[in-house]
Amino acid sequence: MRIKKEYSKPSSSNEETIFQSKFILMKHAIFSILLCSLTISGFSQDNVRRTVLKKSYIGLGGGLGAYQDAKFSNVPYSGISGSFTAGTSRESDSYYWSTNFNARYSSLKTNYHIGGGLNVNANYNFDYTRKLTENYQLGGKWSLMNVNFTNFSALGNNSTGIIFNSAVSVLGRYTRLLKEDVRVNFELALGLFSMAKEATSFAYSASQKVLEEGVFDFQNDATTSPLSLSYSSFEPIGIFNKIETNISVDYKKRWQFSYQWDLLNYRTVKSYPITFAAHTLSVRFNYISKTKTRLNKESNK
Amino acid sequence: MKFSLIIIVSILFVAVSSCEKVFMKPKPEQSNIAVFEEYTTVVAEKYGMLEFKGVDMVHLADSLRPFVTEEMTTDSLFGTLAIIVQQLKDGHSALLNQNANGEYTHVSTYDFISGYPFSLHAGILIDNYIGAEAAPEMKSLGTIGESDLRMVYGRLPQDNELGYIHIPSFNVEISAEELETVFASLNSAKGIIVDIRGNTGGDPILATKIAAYFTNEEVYIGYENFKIGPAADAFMKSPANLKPATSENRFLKPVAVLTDRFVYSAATTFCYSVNPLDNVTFIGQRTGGGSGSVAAGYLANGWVWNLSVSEFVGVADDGSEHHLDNGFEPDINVLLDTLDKTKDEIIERAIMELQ
Repeated sequence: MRIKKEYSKPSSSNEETIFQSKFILMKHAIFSILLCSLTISGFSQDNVRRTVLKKSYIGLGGGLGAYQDAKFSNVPYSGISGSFTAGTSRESDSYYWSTNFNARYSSLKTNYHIGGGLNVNANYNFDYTRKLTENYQLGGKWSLMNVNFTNFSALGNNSTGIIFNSAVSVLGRYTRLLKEDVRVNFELALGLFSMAKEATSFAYSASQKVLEEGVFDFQNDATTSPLSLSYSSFEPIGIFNKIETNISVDYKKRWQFSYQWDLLNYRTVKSYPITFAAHTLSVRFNYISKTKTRLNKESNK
Repeated sequence: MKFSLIIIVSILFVAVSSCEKVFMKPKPEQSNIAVFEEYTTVVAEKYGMLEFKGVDMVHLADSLRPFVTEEMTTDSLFGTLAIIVQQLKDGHSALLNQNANGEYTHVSTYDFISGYPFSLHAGILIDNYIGAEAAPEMKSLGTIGESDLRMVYGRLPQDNELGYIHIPSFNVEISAEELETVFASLNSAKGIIVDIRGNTGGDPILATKIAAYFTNEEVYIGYENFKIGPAADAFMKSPANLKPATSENRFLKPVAVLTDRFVYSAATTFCYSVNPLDNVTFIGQRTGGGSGSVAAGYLANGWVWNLSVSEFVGVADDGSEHHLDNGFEPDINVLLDTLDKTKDEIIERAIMELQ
């Protein structure tokens, strides 16, 4: 209630609806940040003896990419994809965190017509989860920078599409030890909100926000350059939909085999979304995998 | 038992997660009628100048729909959709089909040149004004007479106090340093002729960069009216000001811009950018227009559509607004006599104006 009072009262019912929506979104955002903060603040609690498993890894994968941009065609495209990943993780009795870079290339074809395009995706993210029980974990994922580059050379001014986003997701994980050296993990990350910018709009190769604000200007790179991050906007779930699922099997110290599904569905104009999806089978090699045990000097009790 | 449970859960997990189709639009139909409906919808939703062009898409689609059948050939269907392209009277708008070798098998675009006279003759220009024999001091970015030519600049042999810049296309890259060199070399001239005849466009940002050398103050030049949604009235204006170049070599003395019907697209951007400037006079023939920005997409059968999704409405030096998509008349109308190989009448008239 205190937060709401800081805003001036909206003058019309339409504005009031927008205002209430924004307020609800802000509540969600604050709740999510608090959730992350609380989980992080619990970092140094309780256990006197802590075991931490540290891993650094690289991985390669392949699979299937899918794409549709309803602004310029209802034709769906798909094709073979290849991916590379590198990262590091820390896992203790109470938490798990990792930082990861991933790059993926997908060729995009369709049986609707000849020709096609390509998609390159690169993203860098952090995730952190707390163990709720032996098998269940809950936390958050911050995709610090995610870039989707698409090219369809036959489309002239619309040949290149770029989406930048920095998204926060809620992350759940279930892990289960099948044998001494075999562990299976299920992950689901659901995007809550994002700062995003799509370089193309409903009808042109400039961002929708630039055109809606009436600030397009050939002498201002911020409004014309597809690489500019200016005019990014806060986008909540519903408009910016990001889902990532992952099933992985850890095998002995060094290996992980996984299936991953990533989805990004974003619309700057109602009913005209752009959708990217990728199904990836990958193998990961942990070139560092070591366990450290130490005694905590401080305790909360 | 435990292992089989994991397998079942994994299969369910994969099945549930592989649902991007839920988020995507349904696959489009490729029937003749479906493609016709798709194209008429795309034009109605995207095209930025239906009102200015006097095209009622509902009426046009209704009048063509009875002729579209599933039995008609591809050529006939293309011919029917091409009627819509021609009604738009817009050189930016087109419908194209390519075969597997990348060759165009079907093309429909509006011929905005037809009926207008040639106003540029390369032989006359090279032999009398910019060639090495006629003008040994004339410089160029790229080679005169070759496809790599980006710009010709220097003093005219007919009057060494007048500068001349020929920009055959804006579909090139010219660096800020190169522009500085060009304008520094012409800074002491008493006037400059900017010859953009035959320039069918390219990069509007480059066109604006060059235009910015001809003003010392920010000038309102009009607005671009963009289509921002599918509704018929979903437009937003982006007002445009020409900001002066950050250079000491801005040229504020008289300028003559030479035009013809081939002046189109980004070359029109150059024209509307300098049109409100008091020191600029247009000489030659009516320009081609193409003031809108262009978008492209695929129909379900793979045909590529191009459409103008905006219109630039310019202002003249008297403040009046002008629709520019069908070009505009120059201040001084001059025809080129291609039979007289000794002179270019349009350049000669510009020399007279600047002397």
